[in-house]
Amino acid sequence: MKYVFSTESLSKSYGSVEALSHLDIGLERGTITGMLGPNGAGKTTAMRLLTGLLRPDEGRILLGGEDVTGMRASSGRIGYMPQRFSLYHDLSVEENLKFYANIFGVRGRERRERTEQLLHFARLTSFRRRRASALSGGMKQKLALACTLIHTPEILLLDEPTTGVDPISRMELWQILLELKADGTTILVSTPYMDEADRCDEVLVLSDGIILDRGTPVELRSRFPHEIIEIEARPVGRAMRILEQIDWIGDVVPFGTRLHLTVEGGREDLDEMRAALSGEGVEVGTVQTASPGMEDVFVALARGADTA
Amino acid sequence: MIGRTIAVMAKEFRHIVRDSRSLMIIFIMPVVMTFLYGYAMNFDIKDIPLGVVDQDSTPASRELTTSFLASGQFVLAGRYRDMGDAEEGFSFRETVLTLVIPRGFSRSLDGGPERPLGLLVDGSDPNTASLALGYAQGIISRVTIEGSMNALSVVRDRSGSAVGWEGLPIELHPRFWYNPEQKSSHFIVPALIAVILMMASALLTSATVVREKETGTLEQLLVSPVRPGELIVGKLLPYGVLAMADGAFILFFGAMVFGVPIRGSLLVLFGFTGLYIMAALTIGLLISTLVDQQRVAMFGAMLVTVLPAFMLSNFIFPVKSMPVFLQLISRVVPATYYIPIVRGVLLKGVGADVFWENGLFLLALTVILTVVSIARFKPRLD
Repeated sequence: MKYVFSTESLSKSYGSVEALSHLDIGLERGTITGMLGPNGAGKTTAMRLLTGLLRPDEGRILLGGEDVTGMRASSGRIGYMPQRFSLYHDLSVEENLKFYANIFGVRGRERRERTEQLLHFARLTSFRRRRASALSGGMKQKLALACTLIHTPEILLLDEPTTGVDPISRMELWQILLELKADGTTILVSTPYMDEADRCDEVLVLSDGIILDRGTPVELRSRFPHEIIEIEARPVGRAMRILEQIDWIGDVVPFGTRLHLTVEGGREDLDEMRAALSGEGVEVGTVQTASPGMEDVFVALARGADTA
Repeated sequence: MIGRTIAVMAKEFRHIVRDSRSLMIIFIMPVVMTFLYGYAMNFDIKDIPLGVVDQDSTPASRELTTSFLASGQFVLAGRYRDMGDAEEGFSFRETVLTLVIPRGFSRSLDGGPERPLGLLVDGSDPNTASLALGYAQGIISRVTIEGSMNALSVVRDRSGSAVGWEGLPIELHPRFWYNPEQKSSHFIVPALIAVILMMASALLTSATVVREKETGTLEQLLVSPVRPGELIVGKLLPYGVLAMADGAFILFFGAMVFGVPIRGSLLVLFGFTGLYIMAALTIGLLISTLVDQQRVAMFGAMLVTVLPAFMLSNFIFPVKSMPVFLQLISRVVPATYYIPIVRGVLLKGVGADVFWENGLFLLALTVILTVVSIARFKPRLD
């Protein structure tokens, strides 16, 4: 048995809208699988199907080889952190942890030890008596994760844990996930942030309820048949309009003050591009070829799915 | 199983203690409502404006008018020459009741030809009209008993005409048990306590499950070993304790402010009040499991508790004179069963032996609603 937790052809519709279509996922023990996709791709639906909060229209869910389709995950083997995880705001950090410990039957010395360990883990030890309502967004997410971990689940399902969290807390959260993985926890994490996919062992690219592609981050990038030219240009808006007119340039995607141009290998004519831009009064800074990031891969996949 | 229920209870206790706004509401709202309804819902009618058409104009007819005014229930609003005049008095709302004393009234008391008295009453407000009429008939019957039963005792002046009565052979001394001063507040305040308790208790629980739906904590609880029954019972009991404290507060406050006596056993009263509160809490809880927004839940709780407790519980309006379908509804309104208890224990000092059936009903309702709440609680999101 290769997978600890897997699905076979899992589908779910809301009325006539197919939220998820024939999803096949397999999670290997001690790995992090990233579910990547924009809002509305079906990530939350997938999470809720996996926890039994929603019942699938078809397909099967297997937990350790056992068919658990349609069963609510209440055994404690699974830890689930919903996208809108909301703590009890009028309870303190410690009281929130204690409540979840009691609910999951973690008691006595085990509870005390686990609480200390998690407070330390989440860097919340010095905030233990603070009300959850008075925590920052990042601290709330870390506390939420700690509550999810209180009963030491084998499998961790995290629905967009880093959405709306500051960059430092995001880094800390990922640090925690990597430590958990090292301890053998199996993790499925969904995220709209492409850069987070690079930290996963396997990435599923989800859009409109279907998996567009899957593989290790390296595999996904290597399958990307294009080159990326990164260009600094001002004003960005005008530069985008001009660049979109040039026939050898595919997608033009803004990254802050830079633009990523997707180019089929060997066709580029950088001098022509510079001339076109400065002819229209666009100031051009550095121009360089970049390796495709996850976002480029995703844009190309999504575009491919649209035209297909 | 017990452990998880206790965990939920401990958490709910913390919510209660820290939610100072709700605590304020459930202790201040009853005070305001008790004052407002206790004073405003007053059925005592005093100083009914009386019109008099005295066509007899004798000492006896004046004596009759005086006995009306002396009763304390009427004040003289105007004297009119004839019926036409008297009608104007009604039109301008100067008078509610007009006494017409015909010519020859005095002689009829002396055994002359019968001259019926006239009572005209403004029937546009039937309640006041019937009360006024009742008072007036009481006064007149006393006068006519005196007149006909003991004509000899009619006091006459030198010319021989009757000027008054004395030496009454029958005297009516009505005694009102349980509420000797006939204060309507003694009748209203105990029932008011029932309405307020019902509303406050249902409001408390109506928000509990929905709040967790709204904030998203429920989604987390659903992926845990907690079972619906543990969640429902764990939420019910802490609010039961709070509502009991609220109940004791409302009872003592209402009784103190309006001087309502507590004649029966407090133990019996609190026992039944506990059953009543649990029924009210389960109503709120059921609503909470059915709806998705706190506002809807609280509005729903107000709607299904306040109106039936007021209208369909024999609070003021007798259910027996209502259409059958309303009578049927009133049978499942908890206040229907609790109001006789709270009135009985407070005013009559009645014991548990009289009300055990009502208590049994409240207990059954609580159990049924709890079971339905648990069954209706959806442990999934679709």
